[in-house]
Amino acid sequence: MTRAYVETTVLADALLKPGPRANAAKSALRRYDESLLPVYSIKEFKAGPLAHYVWFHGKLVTTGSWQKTLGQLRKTAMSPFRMRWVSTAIEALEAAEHKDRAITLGHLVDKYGALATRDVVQCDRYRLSLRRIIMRAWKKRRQLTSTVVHELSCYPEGDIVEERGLIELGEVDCCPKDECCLAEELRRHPESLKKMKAAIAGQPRKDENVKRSQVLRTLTRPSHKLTPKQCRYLGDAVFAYFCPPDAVILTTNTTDLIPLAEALGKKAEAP
Amino acid sequence: MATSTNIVEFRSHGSLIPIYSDAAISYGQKKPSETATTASFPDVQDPIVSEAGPSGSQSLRLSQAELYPARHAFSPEHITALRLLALAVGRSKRALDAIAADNALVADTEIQKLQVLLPELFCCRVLGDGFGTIINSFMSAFEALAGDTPDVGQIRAINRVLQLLKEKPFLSADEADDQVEVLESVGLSPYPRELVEFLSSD
Repeated sequence: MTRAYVETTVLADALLKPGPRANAAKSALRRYDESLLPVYSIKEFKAGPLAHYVWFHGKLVTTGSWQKTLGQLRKTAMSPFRMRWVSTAIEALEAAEHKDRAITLGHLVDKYGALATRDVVQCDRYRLSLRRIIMRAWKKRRQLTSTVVHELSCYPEGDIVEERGLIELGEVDCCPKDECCLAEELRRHPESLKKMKAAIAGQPRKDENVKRSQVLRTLTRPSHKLTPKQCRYLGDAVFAYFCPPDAVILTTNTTDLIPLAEALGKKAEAP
Repeated sequence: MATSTNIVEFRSHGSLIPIYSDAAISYGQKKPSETATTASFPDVQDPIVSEAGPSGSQSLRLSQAELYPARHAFSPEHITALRLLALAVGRSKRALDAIAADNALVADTEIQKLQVLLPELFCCRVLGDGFGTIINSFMSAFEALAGDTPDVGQIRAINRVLQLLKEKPFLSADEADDQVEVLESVGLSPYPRELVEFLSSD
């Protein structure tokens, strides 16, 4: 029996990227007899890619203009908080906008005013599309795989709602009473933590690796309490650690996950 | 007319009072979606709406969901939408008839005529996000087809969704999602292609 342990990137592809990316993710899931979705994936999905989409949707709502939203996308792509949206992708949107400029909606503008201008039409088309993608993604998150596993007692999954036209994600972090619910289980196998830390040491020195390594080190200290922020920094290490030995981690981020999985004698694959 | 446009009406002393007569909501005025509006209807007996006391002047609390369908009832956009949707339903039906008669050229011509109605229908999106969502999906689907004629199954689905929209132009965004799923199930792409490309990039 083959089993896939679904990591956040595959969940995001399947739910947030309609077209070839979603199809690839979904057909990869179908290759396995059983697919397991840990709630940690849902948590990362909500705080990461889904939050990015909500931000994009919010810009369309608040500016009411595609031109202004596009300006914001460009700025964000250059900021330290940049999403993984490269400038070539934005160019595709700009190209579509220029192509459509050739089409005149003059008679409709006369009749319907600003609502018929190219800028507002484009803005509303993207807003409505994004709204549907976001709401459906959240609705279908637990239906994508055969099972949802490793519920997190300190994570209030909550529902997303629409308020004044904006999408409200609610709480995205854990709310532990004492410490993160994963801590106790992670401390049971300090050797595994050390192995993952060693695997990270062999990887390129990047911010997320440094933070992950620090959390793995502090976890071995019994007096230390794992905070929600540290739980977030653990990221890929959670998947490597909690993936059942007979399952394969399904991820598009194989670069980071393969070393961690192999350190624990497990496997990670791309869809 | 009212039965085909899901307009909410209140019965008072045997006469029908269209809800849009509420003077507190003027045409074009936007209200926050989560608010409720209090309106006074003297001697309203209908148990559906009589949440206040049993007699005398009553204060009725109406939710936005109850009010919203009527806000744009019989507005120019509503009337235009119904007219264009009736045309679009007819076009899709004629396309199906043409395919049944093995006349692909006529079918394609009818689809072209349907397609050119969509930009103006999208201008009627003040009727609600549900309406806008469905028209946007049609526009995107035709863009993705890039001039190809939809197949019979796709035209049937288009016809079905258009008919529903004509009957319920004020449908909610969630209700619209189900209709868009009908289009997706026959292989029509409901999102603008360039947006999908953008979202799919790393």
